[in-house]
Amino acid sequence: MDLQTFYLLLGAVLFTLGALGVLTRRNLIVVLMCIELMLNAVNLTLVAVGRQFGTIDGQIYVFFVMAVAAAEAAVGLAIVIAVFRDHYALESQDVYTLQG
Amino acid sequence: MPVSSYIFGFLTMLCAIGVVASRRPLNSALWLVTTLFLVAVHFALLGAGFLALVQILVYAGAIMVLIIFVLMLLGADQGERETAFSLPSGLVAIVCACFLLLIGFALYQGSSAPSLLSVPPQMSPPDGSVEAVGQALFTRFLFPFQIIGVLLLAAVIGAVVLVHEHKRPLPPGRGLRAMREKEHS
Repeated sequence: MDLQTFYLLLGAVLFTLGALGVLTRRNLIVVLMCIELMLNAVNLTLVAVGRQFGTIDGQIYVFFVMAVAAAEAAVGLAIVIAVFRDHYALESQDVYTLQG
Repeated sequence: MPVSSYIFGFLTMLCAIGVVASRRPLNSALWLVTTLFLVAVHFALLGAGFLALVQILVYAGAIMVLIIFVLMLLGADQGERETAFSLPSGLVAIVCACFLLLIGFALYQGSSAPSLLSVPPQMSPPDGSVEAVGQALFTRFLFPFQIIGVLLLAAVIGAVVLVHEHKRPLPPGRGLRAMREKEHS
C-alpha cells in the first residue's frame, strides 16, 4: 500500500467514524465534536491529494476549511447555549420540538 | 519514513474511536484534542509545516478550548441516559461499514487502473512553508481570503446575537431565569 492510498484510506476511516458518531450519539456537543472529526478527515485528504498534484492548492483549501470550521464551531456552540437556556437539556430525546 | 505514517495513522484511528465511543462528553473532548494533535503530525509528515502549526493553534488551541468551555459552563458532562449502543446504532454502524468498504474498493480500483486525471503518484512534494502558503494566499486566493474575513465577522456577530438574552417574558417554570428564581425563593 503506497503512501497516497494509505492517507486516502485514513481520511475515509476518520470520516466514517465521525459520521457514525453524528448519527449515533445523543449529546449535542458530542455531535459537534464528531462533525469536527469529519472536517479533519477532509483536511487530511485535501493535503494528501494536494501533495500528489505537487501544488500548494490543497493546503490553501485546508486553510479555508479551518477558518470555516472555526466560524461554524462558534455559531454551533452559541446555538447549544441558546438551546440549553430554553430546554434545560442537551440530549436529542429531550430537545425534539422547536418550541421555546 | 512511511512506517511513522502508518504508526501515527493507527494511533489517529484509535483516538477517533475514543471520540465516538466515550461515555462522558469531556472524555470525548480530550480524545478529540489528541486526534487533532495527531492530524497535525500527519500534516507535518506530508510536508505541510505551516498547516500543522495552524492546526494546533486554531483547532486544538481555540476550537477545542471553546468546546470544553461550553461543556463545563453548561455542566453537560453526564453520560447519556440511555445506552448509546442499541439497535438503530447497530444498523448505522453496518451502513457506515458498507460506506467504508465502498471507499476502500474505489481506492483499490483507482490505484491499479489508469486514473482519469493521469496524475503520476508521488510528485515532488510542494513547499509547505509560510512563504509558499502566503505567496499563494495573497495572490491567487486573495478574494476568498477577504471573503473569509467577512465570514468570520458574520460568525462572531451571529454568535453574540444568538446568546444575547432578550428581555422577553418566558413561560412560567421554564428557562434558566425561572430556575434561578425558584432556587432563590
